[in-house]
Amino acid sequence: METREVVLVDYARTPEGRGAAKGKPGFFDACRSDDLGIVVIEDLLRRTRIDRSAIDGIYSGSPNLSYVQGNMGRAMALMTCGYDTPALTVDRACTSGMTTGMIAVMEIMLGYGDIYIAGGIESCSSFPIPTITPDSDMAALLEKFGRERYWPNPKLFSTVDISILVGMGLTAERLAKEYKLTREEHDQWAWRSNMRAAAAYREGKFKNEIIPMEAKLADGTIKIVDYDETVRPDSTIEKIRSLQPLYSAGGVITAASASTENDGAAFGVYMSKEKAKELGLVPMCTIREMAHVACDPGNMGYSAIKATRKVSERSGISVDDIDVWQSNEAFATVPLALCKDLGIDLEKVNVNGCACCIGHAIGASGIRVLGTAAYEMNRRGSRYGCASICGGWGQGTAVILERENYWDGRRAWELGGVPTPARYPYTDPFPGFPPEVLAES
Amino acid sequence: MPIIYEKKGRIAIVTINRPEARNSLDFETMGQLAKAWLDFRDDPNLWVAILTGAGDRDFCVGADLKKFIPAVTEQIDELASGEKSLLGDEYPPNAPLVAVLREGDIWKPIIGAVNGICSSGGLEMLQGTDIRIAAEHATFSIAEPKRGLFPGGGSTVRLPRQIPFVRAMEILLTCEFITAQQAYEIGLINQVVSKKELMATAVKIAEKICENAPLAIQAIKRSVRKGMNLSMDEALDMELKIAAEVFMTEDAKEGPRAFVEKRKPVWKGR
Repeated sequence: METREVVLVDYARTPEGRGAAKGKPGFFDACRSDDLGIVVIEDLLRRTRIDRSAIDGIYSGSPNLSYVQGNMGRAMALMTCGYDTPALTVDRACTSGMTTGMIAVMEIMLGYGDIYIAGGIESCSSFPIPTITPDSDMAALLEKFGRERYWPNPKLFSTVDISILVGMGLTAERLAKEYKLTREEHDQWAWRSNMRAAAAYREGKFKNEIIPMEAKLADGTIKIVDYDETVRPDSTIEKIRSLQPLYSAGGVITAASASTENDGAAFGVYMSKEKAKELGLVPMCTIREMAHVACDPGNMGYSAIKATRKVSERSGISVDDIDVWQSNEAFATVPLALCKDLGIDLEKVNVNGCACCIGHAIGASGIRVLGTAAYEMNRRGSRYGCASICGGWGQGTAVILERENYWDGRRAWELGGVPTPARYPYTDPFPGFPPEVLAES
Repeated sequence: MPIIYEKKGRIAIVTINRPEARNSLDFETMGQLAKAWLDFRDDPNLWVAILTGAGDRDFCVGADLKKFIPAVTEQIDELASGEKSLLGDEYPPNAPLVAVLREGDIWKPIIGAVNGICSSGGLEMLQGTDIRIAAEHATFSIAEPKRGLFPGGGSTVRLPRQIPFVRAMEILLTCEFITAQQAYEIGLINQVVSKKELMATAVKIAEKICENAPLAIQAIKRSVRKGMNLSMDEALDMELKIAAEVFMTEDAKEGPRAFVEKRKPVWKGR
């Protein structure tokens, strides 16, 4: 069967706000994840000038409890495009935002559709992810989650260690041990991630990627922001070295080398190569190959390595040919282990910072690492890039991108940086209901 | 970002944020400034704006001579005929004029907080504000003629109507700057304060305005600014119509009611 080639013609994201569930406020802590998604979808439609009726699917990654209504993708499709736009919502944990892209790519390859908007949305503010350590009271946690509508099947825990129920920290400690990664390596990586992100903002590298939009600052001021809330440009290596391990005494992972939980949305526009040419849109890159894997949930981070090996084998493209790497920093352990396992030069990985400081808006991260790699490939004139992401419960995906010589036309991905008309994306969940009625329910 | 746009309750704060370029206006800055003003105009929750510049030295020195002006002079025919839009399709065609408060029909009060050198386009923008506070070290001038250019942001029309004729002509023809104290004396600005107190003073004035009914305030600004273009008779006729609109609002009932009930009025903005 003839399959078609698929290109990414645009990608954008909201700034990432701190997930406010643990006390400190965040840019979007009162906002719904689908409201954040709509901001991105609207900006992509503006930049690409694609007719809304031509969108064949809005595919949204939405794991976790940010999934507050049936098929969030369909809700966003109805709020942006219309009745005739199909949609899908995917939960493959942290890989969701990349998985939706994979599914869209497969559909385009096989001719089921031409143009898809695929990515993910997240509101960690609505779901406090507990820090699980060996001393955590798992029974109490399970009871608490039960009250918050999260009911893992108890039978699972005869095969899966209950302590990796939601918090992945202990899996990262295990990966660190397996690859003999030191505390100092983690600290250096965390510090460098921050410094690289801070430099990237200064040099305007995120200018087209991050949509300037209204967010809420800690004091309640509403301000247009174009940066991520949790990056610490003032971070020092000494400060990071002084932090306590987060997940186990004597562990190597601290708050600096673990990703923060964030709120945000990110989407990419995928289409067939012919359709892009027809519309006069210059692609960012071609999707060359994809892979998805599963592994032991207790060693979750390994899934990124397994997925990367698989995509490299499938494509025949060796690690040495890949210039730009994005390995989601669920923990600094993951890219560190990836580089050690596959012999990748650390300098090529996450060159503009990653989840340790930019944050992990979980549903969005999959497309975020893919799209940000595409931007970097274009900046450097690289031919190949690889984006990978590990996911909770031992799931991983990886994609290899290729930048080819394309035609002349509209480079939608260079038309960002325009502040949206989107007001602070807060929607009153119960409009028109008087307070007395809400109090009763 | 070249424009910082913040909303604190009912007050919008617009800060020109290119201190490394003396807060001059290039394409991107003009575009974002225009968007901020239109957002301020259209957001019913915002009642007053404060305009200021980032840093201690400059408020705004006008259009960026390196980037903006050459583009204008080269394309002036197409721009004048309306064939081309200066800032591209993402912004409304009159965006540069909205940015400098020459157009836009913004009937909500705007307070200028002049934190430094206010020159050329910066002074033109200031004429679009309604109340102006300046730091002691601020200066004011029109410098376009020095560069063979024209102060097309409204100065030749508005300045002589806002301050005494001879003072306006001195500024426009000599292109020399005046100090904050001199600006106060000729009525170009309302108040001179120390650098430290500038924003606090502006915010205090904004808060005082916010205690008054928003629709009445906006109607007043509209009547004043539009009336200045009309003959006295026409302006008085217009004023009556505008007054009637205000008297028909719910807030017009709430005000006297609150007075009688000896409490603070709660404005609904309708």
